[in-house]
Amino acid sequence: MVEVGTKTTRKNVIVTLLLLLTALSASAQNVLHGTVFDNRTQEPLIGATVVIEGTTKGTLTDFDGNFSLNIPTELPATINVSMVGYLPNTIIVYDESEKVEVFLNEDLRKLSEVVVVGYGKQKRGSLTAAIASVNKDELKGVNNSSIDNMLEGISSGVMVSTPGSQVGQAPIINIRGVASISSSTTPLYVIDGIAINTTDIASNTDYNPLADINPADIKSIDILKDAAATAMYGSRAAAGVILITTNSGSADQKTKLTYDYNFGLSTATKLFEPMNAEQYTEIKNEGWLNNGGNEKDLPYGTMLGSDGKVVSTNWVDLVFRTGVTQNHNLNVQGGNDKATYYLSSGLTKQEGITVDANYDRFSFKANATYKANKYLNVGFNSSYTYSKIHTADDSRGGSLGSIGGLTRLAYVDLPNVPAYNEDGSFYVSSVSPQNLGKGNNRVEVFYYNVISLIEGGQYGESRTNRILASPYAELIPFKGLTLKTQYGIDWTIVQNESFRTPITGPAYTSGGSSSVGTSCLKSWTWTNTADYNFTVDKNSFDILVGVEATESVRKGWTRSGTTLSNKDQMYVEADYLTYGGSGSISESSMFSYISRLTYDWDDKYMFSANFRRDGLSKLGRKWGNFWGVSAAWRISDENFFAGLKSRHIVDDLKVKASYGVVGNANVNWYASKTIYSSSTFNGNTSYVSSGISDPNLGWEQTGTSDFGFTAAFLNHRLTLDVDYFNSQSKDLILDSSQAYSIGIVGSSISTNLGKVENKGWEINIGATVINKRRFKWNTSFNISFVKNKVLELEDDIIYSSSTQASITTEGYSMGQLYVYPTAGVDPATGRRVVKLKQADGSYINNLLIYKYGKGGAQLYEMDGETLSGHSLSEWKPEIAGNTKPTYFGGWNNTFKFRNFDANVNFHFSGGNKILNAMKATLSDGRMWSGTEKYYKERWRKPGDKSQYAKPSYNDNYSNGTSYLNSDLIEKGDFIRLQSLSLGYNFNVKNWPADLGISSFRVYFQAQNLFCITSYSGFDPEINSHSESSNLLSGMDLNTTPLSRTFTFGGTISF
Amino acid sequence: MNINRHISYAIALLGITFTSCGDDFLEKNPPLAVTEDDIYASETLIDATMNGVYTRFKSSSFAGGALAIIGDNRSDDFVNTGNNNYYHAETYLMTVGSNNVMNPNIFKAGYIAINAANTLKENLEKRSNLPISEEKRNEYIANCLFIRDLSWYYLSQIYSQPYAYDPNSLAIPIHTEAVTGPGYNNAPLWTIGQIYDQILADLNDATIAALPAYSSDFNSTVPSQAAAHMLRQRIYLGEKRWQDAIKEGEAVVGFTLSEKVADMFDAPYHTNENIYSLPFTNTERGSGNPASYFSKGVGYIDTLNMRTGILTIEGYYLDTDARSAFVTLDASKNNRPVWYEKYNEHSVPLEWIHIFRYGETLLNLSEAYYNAGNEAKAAELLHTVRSRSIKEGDILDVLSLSGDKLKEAIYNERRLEFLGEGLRGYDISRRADNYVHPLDKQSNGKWETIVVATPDNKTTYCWALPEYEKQVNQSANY
Repeated sequence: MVEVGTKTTRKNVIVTLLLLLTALSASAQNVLHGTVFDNRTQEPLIGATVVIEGTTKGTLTDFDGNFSLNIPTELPATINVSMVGYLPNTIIVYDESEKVEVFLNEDLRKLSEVVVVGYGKQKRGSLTAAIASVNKDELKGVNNSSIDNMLEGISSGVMVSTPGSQVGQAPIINIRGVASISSSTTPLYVIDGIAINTTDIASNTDYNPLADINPADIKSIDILKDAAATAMYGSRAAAGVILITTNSGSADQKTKLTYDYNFGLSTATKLFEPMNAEQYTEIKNEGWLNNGGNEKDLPYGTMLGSDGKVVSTNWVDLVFRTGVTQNHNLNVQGGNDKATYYLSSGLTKQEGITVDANYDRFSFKANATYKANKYLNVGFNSSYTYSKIHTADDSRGGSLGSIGGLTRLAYVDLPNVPAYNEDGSFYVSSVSPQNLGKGNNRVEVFYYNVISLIEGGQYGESRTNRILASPYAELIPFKGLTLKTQYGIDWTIVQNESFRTPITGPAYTSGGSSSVGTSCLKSWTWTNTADYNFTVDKNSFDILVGVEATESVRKGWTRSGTTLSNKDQMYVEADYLTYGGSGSISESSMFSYISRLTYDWDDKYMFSANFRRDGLSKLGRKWGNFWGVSAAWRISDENFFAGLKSRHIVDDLKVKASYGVVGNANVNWYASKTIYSSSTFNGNTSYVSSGISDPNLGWEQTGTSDFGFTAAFLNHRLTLDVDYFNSQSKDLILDSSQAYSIGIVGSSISTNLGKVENKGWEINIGATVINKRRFKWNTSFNISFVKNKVLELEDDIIYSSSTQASITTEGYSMGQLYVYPTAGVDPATGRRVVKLKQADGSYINNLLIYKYGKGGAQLYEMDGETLSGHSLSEWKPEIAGNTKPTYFGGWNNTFKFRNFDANVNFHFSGGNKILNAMKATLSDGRMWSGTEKYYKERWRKPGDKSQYAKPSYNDNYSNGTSYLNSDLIEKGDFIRLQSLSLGYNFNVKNWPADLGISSFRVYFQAQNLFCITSYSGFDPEINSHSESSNLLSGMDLNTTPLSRTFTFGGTISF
Repeated sequence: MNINRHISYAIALLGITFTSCGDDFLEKNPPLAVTEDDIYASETLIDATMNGVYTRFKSSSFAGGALAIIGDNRSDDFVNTGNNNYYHAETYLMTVGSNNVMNPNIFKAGYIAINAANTLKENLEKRSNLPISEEKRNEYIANCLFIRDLSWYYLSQIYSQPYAYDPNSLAIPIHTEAVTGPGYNNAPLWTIGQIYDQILADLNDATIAALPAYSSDFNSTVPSQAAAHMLRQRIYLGEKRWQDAIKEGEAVVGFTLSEKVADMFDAPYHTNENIYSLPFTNTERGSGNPASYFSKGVGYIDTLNMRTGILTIEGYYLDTDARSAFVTLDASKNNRPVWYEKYNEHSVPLEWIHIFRYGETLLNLSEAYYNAGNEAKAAELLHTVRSRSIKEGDILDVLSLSGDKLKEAIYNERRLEFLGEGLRGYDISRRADNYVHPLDKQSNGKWETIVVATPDNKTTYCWALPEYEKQVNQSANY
């Protein structure tokens, strides 16, 4: 249906830049030629109306979007172009001889762009809640093995950071801050309506459950941020909800086959230069002499190879490599008015940036819908994924900071000894062959030869098989009512395997060891909803009610073997002299009542309320009520606004407010049960209590209020979204300290006692900067300010061992750095200046001097000669910096120029501090090696201003390995070119039709091209304790650096 | 459509979907662990929970190692040369403060045993319809009382000034009831006198009657009447109630001294001398047993005090004394006696730890008779124990001794007989004697000594309560 000439549009602010280059035509009637396009898709629009303003003279565009219109001779003439579902556009014609191109923007309100919300969809225009949507186009040019990585910098309020680049490593995601202390704050992921498991159940490697979803299969991602939206997921929503919709065929689509292949190369973004043999030997001996050692009795010495040259091993070069990644994705989709389908298969082979680290994934997906008759729709979404993570790096099981990890060994192994003997065997100690040999040094090495671990056969492996399947049926007894039932299964089986070689390394003395096992997590969810929507006059109602049941079972077993019977048979399946084993079973269930009412009056006044009641087996007080209310007002539809709107200064303005209460169900499986576990006494079974649980344990609850507005300006070329949120979490589950004299294992009971606050602002700005047929530039910028604050705790939570200098205490954000205050290195003496706090709050300075064999670390007066009388125990750690970024965001640009397209995405974050513990450990006085920077910048003579103290033999204090000091704290601000892509679309229309090619694009992408930061470590995003990132963040120690990837690829469709 | 019809549809929907959910669906119990409700419905599980109390008591941080090692490290017969706080260097030096590295684990382990015993006891007392006989119920309650009393006894020896110094010395926090949930952090400190009173009240005659008596198939790995008498005897010795101590000792009947002391430290580790012993098996190894401190295999951690220790006293290191075989010489140090390998299984530690053995019964009796004035009986009992190991060639005629000489001989015999089993440290403290260390210098051909702790100085004489306990339990922060 076409409405001709009914709409009057005033002069548009966009004036077509057709200049009067030729003289006015003398003819009485001019003919204007032009084409109308969809601004987003760039497809020509068929049937658009083109009318001369103030007349009824007009025409429609043809099949190719072209039109010809007779226009008056008096120029300029004003032409209005309109089409249903699009915002009208006006052009002024100064010269009819130039062919014009008109772009129409979709009218998002009228076209009812839908947003996936909990248990349904909603028109974006009538949203009352804070929801961020990311569609496939926006993710184009972002090529990652996992969805969560792709979200970095994409949406406001969603902080994604990559803590390291071990294969299988999951990023950390925090939506609107950190709303729990002890429970996981991983958001709830819902794929095609079914909540999936995101628990890492692999035991021998890192494993990211989200990587089981092939990103190529994703159509859109909607992120629910405020409680008004998330309350539909009630008890599981406190960390936000991420709704993922996978691809489907569409009803009017001819069968299309698409194949995509790409090839990538990954390297570490940054590595430190390690010391070479001479530098190492010199600095270590310097420490010996500085400690008063005898010059004729130097403890370190280089050795000569058979070629007569000094042996100098760069272990970093041996451990790190360029990884090759290949991806194949093939899909077929299509449909008619009865059925649609989408089938895909993907293969990913990824090499990590360290030797012998690989990730392989094979995935298969099938989605289909079928319309049986006007009353019944049925369909299913299903996927199967196999993935394998293999790595020689055994520093897993939670912390990447392990001292046995490959990254650490690459830097600490001694450069003045070889990796191999002349005969090709591994160079190991003759005294304790599990360790690296000492060469001409007098000191035995207590680190492994990293190459002997990798090549000697050490590995950890996780092989995952995962099935996600959800059939559903929809019954529509009459218009407006939809009864839906959906049954979803999420079944993951991980085979865990690890092997430690008998040749050398940690299992040398035991003669080799292995562990094999299986972890299995199986969940089903059955959801039944009834959705009824109806309209009375201008009142639209949508009522949804439903029930949902879900049950999960987790099982696991392991078998370990120690001492290979035959050391040549280095297999986990081989015979071992001794075996051990264990198993576990956990079960949980949840039952929920769901309801939602949405109402709007003419898209002007909108209201939504939802309520969910959840019962969870894990808790003592099982039932919790969760709810949200929200309202919005489209001011721009009011009469008083008509002036601004008609001039396209402000096209749309909506204000909104919401409040809701949600929970966190990420608690232990039997958190409220006091359990006895089995042991033995004198060969008989015994049962012992393994701790006491609070039988009244209840829900963690987060109440969030949100105020905001969304606006569109300048004929929708500029959009602005602003939200303020304030969330208060209470009843957080924390360990309540129990006196030892209570006599319970663990000396604590988990109970509801903590309070945390997260509040902040989110701003999104979108703009169409250039909008020409041949050149387009769209940009969007988002920034979020989040302030996290702990309001109530029973006790400070302190991780005080030297590598985990962190404190969580009331009045500060979680995970504050907690280190020893220093005033740097004294230029006169080269010694560490320690600041001792006095009772009155002032500080006095002392020098810390480490004298091996002469009292160790002791405090001296500033002259460096006199013992000060203060003891080291008077040096107390202090809160030294916030580790949670206070602002973060992204700047995303898409360009189109003729057949080229480009994406440039920046990601930035800051306001946080990082503890560069890596710097401390790589400038240690003991036997191990360090960075060349340490060698070059160490203190040497009075007056030197250095960050590294005067080397002293075996000194583990002065540069902070023991007593991590405040000099190691650096700012975490950065801006990163997260991804850059460049594509070229061939003009396949010009190609022979026989080929059947409908599109062909080649592309180049770069991930992580550069990062601008003052941080001196590998990367400011590194978090060595990503598994417990709520409380332990901002720690950089022994973690694999981030990777940079260059990818080349092509996509062809038939 | 009119709006009323819409509303009635909506209400009908609510009715359909809001079906109720059975609470059964939300009731999930761990299949591989058991809850208390499971336990008290099954005799097998009640038996296993009783065993669990013993498992806790047997912890290597408590009775399964640490208590014996503490006793010897506090004694004057060993020198801790390891200089390592993870190996009781501060225990030896008598400087265990609230932040000592070993202090919390030992303290905790004791209380975990106590709460396990209290919890089982209360469940047995309060629950009805238990699937066990009344006799077994009473026996298990008595077992629980015995375990908590023995734990209190040992903790108060380490953390309190002696009863003999002052019965009103503040000792340790006491919970007489089981703790099953949060909110009980404040537990007052009891005096050592109150604790002894409570132990004697717990182990009254009725309690003892519920425990197994001596029989031909006596099981020394679980509490028994004899074991309870032994604990009461130790309390009475501490309170210097000599007649009561004699009565308890005489009540221990049926047991005999084994042929050799070594018999109790070689497989099968039990003889007719064992009264109460903690067993170890190949799958429950005694990883923290005294061999990991005193045997040659572990190097120099605790070595014999060959300056002023018991072996330097004439008559206590005789070639003809079977116990001298425990002494191991150090070939690298001129064959000096360095290690005491009564416990010598350090790589595969299976040796049982003997809490009470009949040898102690006899020497306790000897000491009690001596103090009660019956020197002849005292000497005779002393001779019984001594002559078991020294069949011939004894240079001491203990039967002829009297007065202080006899007392010294009784004290010395205890030192030698229980060397490496930890009793010496507890004896010093029971008698409120000073702790004395050898010095590295001689005068008049004798090694000098130094007093490192006197009973009036709590800081050195006792372990401090762990820092964490003082912070969390306000009553303990005095």
